Amino acid sequence: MIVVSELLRAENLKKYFRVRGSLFKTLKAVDGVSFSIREGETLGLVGESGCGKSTLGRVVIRLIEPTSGRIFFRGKDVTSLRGSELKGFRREAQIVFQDPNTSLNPRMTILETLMEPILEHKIPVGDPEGFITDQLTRVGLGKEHLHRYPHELSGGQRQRVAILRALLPNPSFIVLDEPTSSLDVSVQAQILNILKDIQSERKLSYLFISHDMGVVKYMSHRIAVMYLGGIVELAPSDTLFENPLHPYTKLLLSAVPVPDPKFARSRKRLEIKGEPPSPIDLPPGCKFHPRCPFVMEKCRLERPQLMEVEKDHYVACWLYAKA
Amino acid sequence: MSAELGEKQVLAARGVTVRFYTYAGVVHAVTDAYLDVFEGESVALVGETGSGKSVFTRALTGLIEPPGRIEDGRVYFRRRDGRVVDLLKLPVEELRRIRGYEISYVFQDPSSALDPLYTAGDHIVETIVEHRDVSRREAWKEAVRLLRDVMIPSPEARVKNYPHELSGGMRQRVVIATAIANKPRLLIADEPTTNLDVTVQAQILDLLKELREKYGMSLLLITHNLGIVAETADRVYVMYGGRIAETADVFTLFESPQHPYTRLLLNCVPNPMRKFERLESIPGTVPNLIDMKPGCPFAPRCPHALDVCSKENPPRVELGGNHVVHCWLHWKR
Repeated sequence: MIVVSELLRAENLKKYFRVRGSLFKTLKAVDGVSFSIREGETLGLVGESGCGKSTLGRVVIRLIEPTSGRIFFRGKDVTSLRGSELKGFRREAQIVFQDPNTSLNPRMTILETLMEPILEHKIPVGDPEGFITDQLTRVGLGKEHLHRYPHELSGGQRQRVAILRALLPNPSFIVLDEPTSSLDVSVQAQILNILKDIQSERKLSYLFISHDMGVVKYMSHRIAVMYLGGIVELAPSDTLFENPLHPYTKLLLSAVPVPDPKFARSRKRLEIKGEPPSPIDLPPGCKFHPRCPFVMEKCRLERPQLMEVEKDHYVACWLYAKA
Repeated sequence: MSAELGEKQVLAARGVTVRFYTYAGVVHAVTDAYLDVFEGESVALVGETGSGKSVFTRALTGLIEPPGRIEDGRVYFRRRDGRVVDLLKLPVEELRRIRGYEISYVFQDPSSALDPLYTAGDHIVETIVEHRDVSRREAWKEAVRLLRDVMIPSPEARVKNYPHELSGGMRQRVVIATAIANKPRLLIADEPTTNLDVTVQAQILDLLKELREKYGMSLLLITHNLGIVAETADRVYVMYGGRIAETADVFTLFESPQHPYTRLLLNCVPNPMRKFERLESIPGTVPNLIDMKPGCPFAPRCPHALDVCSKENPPRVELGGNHVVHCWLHWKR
């Protein structure tokens, strides 16, 4: 039997932000989220803007401190690590941000930028410059880029640098926060393929955050769908697309533009009502109930929790609760 | 009938060439581009960053500012009264009367398209009274009707809202309401949903379709998203490096693309409804348009490039049924 070990587990994570100018209002960006990521696995995280997916991505690697909840990494509680232990965790858990124009320091050359993780984590490489030159080729860059500044590179090249910077400390987990959404599709495909190759080479785990369903499907083994701070559905990629259960997932999938004119014109679109409400004044009960076409009385009163309805297929919806 | 425009044709652009004279050199943003739009039709112009799609569509009504210059081209447009004019030869005042009245634009970012100091209603009223002989009071009533048309809930209240009081999706609806206020013959929408969430995007695209049917207007949609093209367009133009690479009806283009760039582009996009082992990617990056030399702009990235491709501009090859490709591979002597 092959035992796939769990790399990261989040238990009932919450991140509340105080709303400025109000004593009582809080913005519940992440509101009780639990999930796990296995070794060598990509967990996709999809949702619309403001659903808390980026906050969640930052909380699990402790770039933002959670309000409550626990994070386990290789079975060890890392929620309250400090000092050198925290630094060890930081080396293992890296992040690539959406916009390489702002995540790279414009005053540092590519070599200087890439030296940072090596110096910071005291990674033992004999000849750093030679090592970095070697590594550049892995992301499709070359020696000629070493002494350039970010503004001298294209968007795709900058994102390659940001990816390499995350890879240099030899992490086992990387949060990829919309890594290709500022890139052209032809360049996006290059970056996605690089990320996949590196993953299979190093058995890396990814948390892949995106709003592009096609990209998430291509990259992920399992996908979690987020709505207003909570996960509403979690399933293996193919299952989620073939048999979406949560009404919000159905809505999201039926709204995704599909690059196939015959399919696009023959499918039935779900009627969409309204826009997501503000995460400051959340509706009671299920957060999706004001927009849900299948709303029942219970949905307005009680909040559903994630429950396993088929093997590995979790959904937070009263429609699937067993009586 | 006129010689320039066929029956039921709204717009025909021919040989449009736009260059920008910058300190870094001459940017060949658009070269010899063309486009046809028929009545009630939805036409998509697809391309990546730097393909010249936005500049081209702005040039259609002369919206190019220095250091840019429209070097060449004719843009025939059939006005409401049936007269056919060349937009690039019209005096500025005349063009201004056409823009916002017979041809309207919706740009990508609704936040910068709306003036933060004016309410949603102000924007719409201004567009109406500028072009038509109606009182402000009448126009204000029309503004409320228009906001209802674009499906903004409680339009009587929303009409008095300032842009910051509206969500991104609502702002784009206000921009669209402004654009359709005078029932234009042609609506040019440049990436109208790029900053919006998919569910809101679907709502806006449905809305554009409905309005097109309701007002009988034509839509020119500029986008980089092939999914949106497949969903909304009747005909498609693919642009690369400032030139039109291929044009066909939407089904032909997706089922049997003939230009190597179109083929690769279609394989780059992950289709969420299909299984993929591996995405194809196009090696290299989009071309630098400064001081372009003759030849096909895609030649450096093209897996099938011939010697002639980097020396001479690609020929226009008609494949029948309005399917046109600009590629040496299809050239037969």
